[in-house]
Amino acid sequence: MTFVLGTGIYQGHNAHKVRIDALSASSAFRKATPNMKAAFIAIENACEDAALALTELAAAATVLGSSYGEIETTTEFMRTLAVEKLARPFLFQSSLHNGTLGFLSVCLCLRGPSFTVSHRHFTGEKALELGLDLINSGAQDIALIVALDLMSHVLMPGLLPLLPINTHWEDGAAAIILASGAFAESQKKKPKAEILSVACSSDLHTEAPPAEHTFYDSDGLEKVALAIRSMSDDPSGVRTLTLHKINGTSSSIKLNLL
Amino acid sequence: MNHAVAITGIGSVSCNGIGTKALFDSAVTNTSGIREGVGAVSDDIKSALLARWPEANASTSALLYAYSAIKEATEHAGWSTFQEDDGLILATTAGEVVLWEDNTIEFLRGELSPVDFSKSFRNLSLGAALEHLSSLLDFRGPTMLVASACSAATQAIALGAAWVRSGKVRRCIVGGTEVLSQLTVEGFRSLQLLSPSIATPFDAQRSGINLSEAAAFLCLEQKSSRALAYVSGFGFSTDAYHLTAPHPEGEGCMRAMQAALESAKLTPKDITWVHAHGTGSKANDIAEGAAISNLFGSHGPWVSSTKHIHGHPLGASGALETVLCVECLGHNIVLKTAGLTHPDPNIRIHHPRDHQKQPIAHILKNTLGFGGNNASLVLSRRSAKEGSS
Repeated sequence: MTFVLGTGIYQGHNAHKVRIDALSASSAFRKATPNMKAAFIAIENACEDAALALTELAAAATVLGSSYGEIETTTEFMRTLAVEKLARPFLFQSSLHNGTLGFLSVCLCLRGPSFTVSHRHFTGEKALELGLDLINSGAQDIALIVALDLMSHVLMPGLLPLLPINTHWEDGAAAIILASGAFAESQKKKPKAEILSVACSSDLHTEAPPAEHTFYDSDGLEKVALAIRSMSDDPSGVRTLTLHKINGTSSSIKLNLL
Repeated sequence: MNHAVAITGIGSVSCNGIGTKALFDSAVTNTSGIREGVGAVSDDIKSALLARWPEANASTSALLYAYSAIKEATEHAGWSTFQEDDGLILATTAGEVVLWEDNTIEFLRGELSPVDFSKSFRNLSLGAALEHLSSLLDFRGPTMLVASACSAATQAIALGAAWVRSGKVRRCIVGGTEVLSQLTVEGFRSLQLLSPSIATPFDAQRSGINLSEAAAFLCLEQKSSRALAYVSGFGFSTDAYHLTAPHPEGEGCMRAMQAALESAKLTPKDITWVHAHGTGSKANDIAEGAAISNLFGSHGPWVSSTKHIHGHPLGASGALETVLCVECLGHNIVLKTAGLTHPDPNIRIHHPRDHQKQPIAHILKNTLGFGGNNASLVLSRRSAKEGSS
């Protein structure tokens, strides 16, 4: 059985400006990318919700999902290479798809298994699914799941023509801390919910997309986190969360509210 | 070893040619596929692939290589079609980079309109490669894309084995694909990691790595009479040390190896051969060597790297080298480190002077990736029920 100990959400630069400024001023974050700061804020938030210290994540497995990865940094590396004929090593190492998780591991001393996954609109769900597998198999007692996408402002004009009417991209990040029942009990943590299953429809499956939609590719994890938060006062029992994607696919997450 | 998962088919495309026989033959004859510092799949090989797989003609090189390797592996395993309870796990770090790299550069230079750029925009999402591969294969079962740098394919194999073990899927096709791109080559060049000559892992005079192209895939299923070898354990760890440099003492690599041995219920003395990540970079070889000597002591198993032969295909390397290890298990041969002439005295591992023809019980396969991401597999000749040799 896999339980949710805490959830955390990064709601965009404006919502966290003070914290981002504070992080940016610290030496540890001097060279951190926007993705790295956003993921860190979501994790901080999840730890607070779970009443866990950041140091208690050291042995956790970490799964990070991102559809576009460090696209802003990749763009800047390519721009300097193409325009200035200069390949900047720091930009390159931070541009890697698993660069975000590499930074977080150093910053938070995460020494357990770490995985970076990417799966277009199902990226958040796939990260959650892998975390569920790790806990359910007994391989891990605690897992930190993070999913985020921050679009490059320089490249955004290339995305806009692809979006259906009334659909808007909005940067975001979320974190969920999963744990086994034994871990929750030993640490005297009261779980918020139990994750029963995560399922994604075939990419060939189509449904009418929602009329009004704000999204980022890996927002499935954020939607699970928001659902758990919003249902915190609801009666206990099983709920199925269905998430419709802009390309007509959908995912289904079954939760047991505790 | 009670939960070993059978490898029933293997396939690859690399700078050494099409198929695992080409790769294995290159390895045993010490023939490197590296030219001018990189291991590119030649135009002749590409033409042969296009002729052999006309249904993949419209695909990018990354998918063409993957498709060919998957076809070889599934034919080898006797899988005629994919079912909905089959799994697919793809590892890659750059995916179909060729679909967006040039367009992005043109857009950044102001030479491409946003509307024209938007035609390739969705391919910037790494998952597009998995979507396209699933479509090419008409694959309907559970899928996942792993992008954990150079450890990606080793993780994919381990996760696939876990899926099969748990019954989440009946069978699983796992592997990786990687192609050369301006982004990757110039990025590694900026980190001063590239060797202009053929890499010489563990050598005192080693000068860096050779980036290369490859795809390699394996078919995994529960114990089978067709088993070529078994995935009997795996372990993962993170250094928490640096974005691109490994922990200098290989502390994380050692924990991954220990976890893999524990998972396989084996001890260090059970290992015949450590197939090392051994990229030929100064830092990797020192760190991995330290991890191996700390774990195994001075009289440890044979340790060698085959990067001199096939280069370093990043996210696909774990799969390519696992495919090679499976061939070696079948042929009872421990490969030497080709290109190694003056072993680095600071790396205290047991180098085979020549290829060793001997029975192999278990191989420990390492990968170390950027982000301090370590993954190790235990590959075994037989399952526990059949008994270890």
